[in-house]
Amino acid sequence: MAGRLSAALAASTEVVIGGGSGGALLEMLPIELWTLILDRLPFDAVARLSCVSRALRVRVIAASQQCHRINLVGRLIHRFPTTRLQFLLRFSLVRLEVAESILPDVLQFIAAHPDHFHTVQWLRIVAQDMDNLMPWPTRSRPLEALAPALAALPALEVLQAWTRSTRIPLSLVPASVHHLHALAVSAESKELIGKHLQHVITWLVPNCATDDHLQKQQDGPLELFRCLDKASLPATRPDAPLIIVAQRYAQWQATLQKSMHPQALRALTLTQTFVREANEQYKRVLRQRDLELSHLCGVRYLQLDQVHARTLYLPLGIEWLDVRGGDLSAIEGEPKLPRISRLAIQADRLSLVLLFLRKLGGHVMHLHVNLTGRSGEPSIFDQLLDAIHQHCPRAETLLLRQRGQHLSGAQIERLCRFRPWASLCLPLAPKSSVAERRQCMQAFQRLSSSLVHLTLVHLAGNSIDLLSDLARARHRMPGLHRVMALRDSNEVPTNLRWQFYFQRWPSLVRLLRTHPGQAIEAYVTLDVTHGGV
Amino acid sequence: MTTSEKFVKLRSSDDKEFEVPVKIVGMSVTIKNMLEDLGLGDSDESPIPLPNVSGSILEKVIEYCTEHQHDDPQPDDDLAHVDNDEPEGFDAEFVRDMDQGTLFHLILAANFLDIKSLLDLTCKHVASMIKNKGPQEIRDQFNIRNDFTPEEEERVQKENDWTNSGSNP
Repeated sequence: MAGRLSAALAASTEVVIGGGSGGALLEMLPIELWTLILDRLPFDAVARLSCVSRALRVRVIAASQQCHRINLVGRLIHRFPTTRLQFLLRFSLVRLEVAESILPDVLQFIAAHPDHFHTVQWLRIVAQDMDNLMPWPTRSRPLEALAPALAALPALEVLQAWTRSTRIPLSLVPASVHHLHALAVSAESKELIGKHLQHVITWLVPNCATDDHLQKQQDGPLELFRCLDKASLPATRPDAPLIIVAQRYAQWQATLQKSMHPQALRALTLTQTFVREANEQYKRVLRQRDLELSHLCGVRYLQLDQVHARTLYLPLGIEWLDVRGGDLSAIEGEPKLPRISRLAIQADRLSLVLLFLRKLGGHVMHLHVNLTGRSGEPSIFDQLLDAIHQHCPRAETLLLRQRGQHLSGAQIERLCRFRPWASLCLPLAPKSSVAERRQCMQAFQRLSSSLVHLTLVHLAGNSIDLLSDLARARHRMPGLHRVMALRDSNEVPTNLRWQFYFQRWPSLVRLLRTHPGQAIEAYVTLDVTHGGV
Repeated sequence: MTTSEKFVKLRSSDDKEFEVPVKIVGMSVTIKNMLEDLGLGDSDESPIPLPNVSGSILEKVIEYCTEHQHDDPQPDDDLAHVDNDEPEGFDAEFVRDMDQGTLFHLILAANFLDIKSLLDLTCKHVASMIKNKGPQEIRDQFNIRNDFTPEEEERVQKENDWTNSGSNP
């Protein structure tokens, strides 16, 4: 067998594996492998790669001609000249990911080259920064902008639009699309939504998201859900996870109750996308209504984004509640409150967080609190820590953030006295003193038998030395598997962040090298994780 | 029901032999197909020659496959599967401190042996080493000689000037 195998294996490849330095090897990687690497790079990185050396340029250009995917997100969030998109014509694209801020350019380009994009099956539009979203011109006339481009994508099967301001006109979506994942769709395509739902839709916003349409869309959601009823979604896909991102919960909750089988719904997201832009008067109206969701007995994951209501009636079955913004006066359940094990709250005021902790904290094991307001009160963390200690006796994972604020060494020490935490994510003071860092280290060592994950936020300045302290104390914390350092990208200018990154990286490398083989991981990342716990 | 595990021997290009459970080598589509096509008898103890993979690289491949032997097979439809998430756990550890020579040989080995998840992991790691870097930083990182003439360099830089807008130094 060996002889036959030998011959067969030798014939199966022309690649000789061995020899050469890292650089030579990078330049000599076969073209088909380069396509795999390019698939994972943003558009601007691919272009920069072609400036490295002549040999690499040849490979990148050759590989890009065979590339199936391209990612136009990357760091390139500004508009750039359409002429540069000529680069796209080198690809036979199957998968295309575009930042919303450059979407008009890309759509125009696609429309102008209809013969080049017939292979695209997957289009994803991403708003890189939802808080600082750069509106694009087609917001006021989406149909005109999108129509030619979508018509030039006849093979499109998956359309994802993770945007708040880009309305997707479903009436123009190619019939080939069977998976729509949109945060905003135009209201005029309700019938088509039903048609698409017969396949699979995971996310849906039944309305457009502008103030101008607020009055006109009063009945939109009701009509939409009548349409959903006709499409018999639960009957077609009773197991389909349906996450509904909506704007007018108070109007369509009754429709939900009538037209959908509650047990079919596993995950529900309510997003009021327009409330941020709406006036205070409208918010006050919303706050006078109750949000009744207790009939949705199948829901396990509930996300409320900018939801304003007087009383929230929760489904009994939810295990994971994620609250982002909004305003609620009370929380109730029927017949009793659910036993929530994962609770994530993002709020601009402490009172809302305390409300949730008081009502729902008893069974919470994973707790994520992100305070977005700038109260500046030093006592805010003391109150929060007291509440966590008092109302969340089972919590073993705590992810704590506050915009622009940090925990003092004394507060961290106090927190670690509460219980044996398994995972902590804490905001640190950038200019911590030696004494404060020592206090932190003593606190973390107190958790030596339990602490597995530790994430340090705002790691900068002197506080970066805490990483070295942790590495030195590694033998006293045998269970600590991961140390993660996060910078808050909102707090420093882009250029400064990069200077920081390059200046600080060598110290992290040294830290890793001085402790070879140990299961400690140190990262500096430029991203901020806004996800759940 | 028999509980005895079948093993096969692999021989690397530098004549090192490794006895590996069939289940683990089965993660290599190339070897799996070969074994199925050519037959594997219980009494056949001849090692499978892998003339394109050195012993040290084969050792890394076996280490990876051993860790992932219980994973669900990746779907062929890579369109649905591609992600750019950072590797975690064993995978992150596996590639983190790997020298570049080993990394590139491992990519070639994963490609040759057709181990999709290993190929994904290693290509993703190379991409992460390239991402967010300028041309000079990439040269420094991978020890690449700039063989452009000054005129060529000026031309390609001008052509790609736009990549610096809104990006970091």
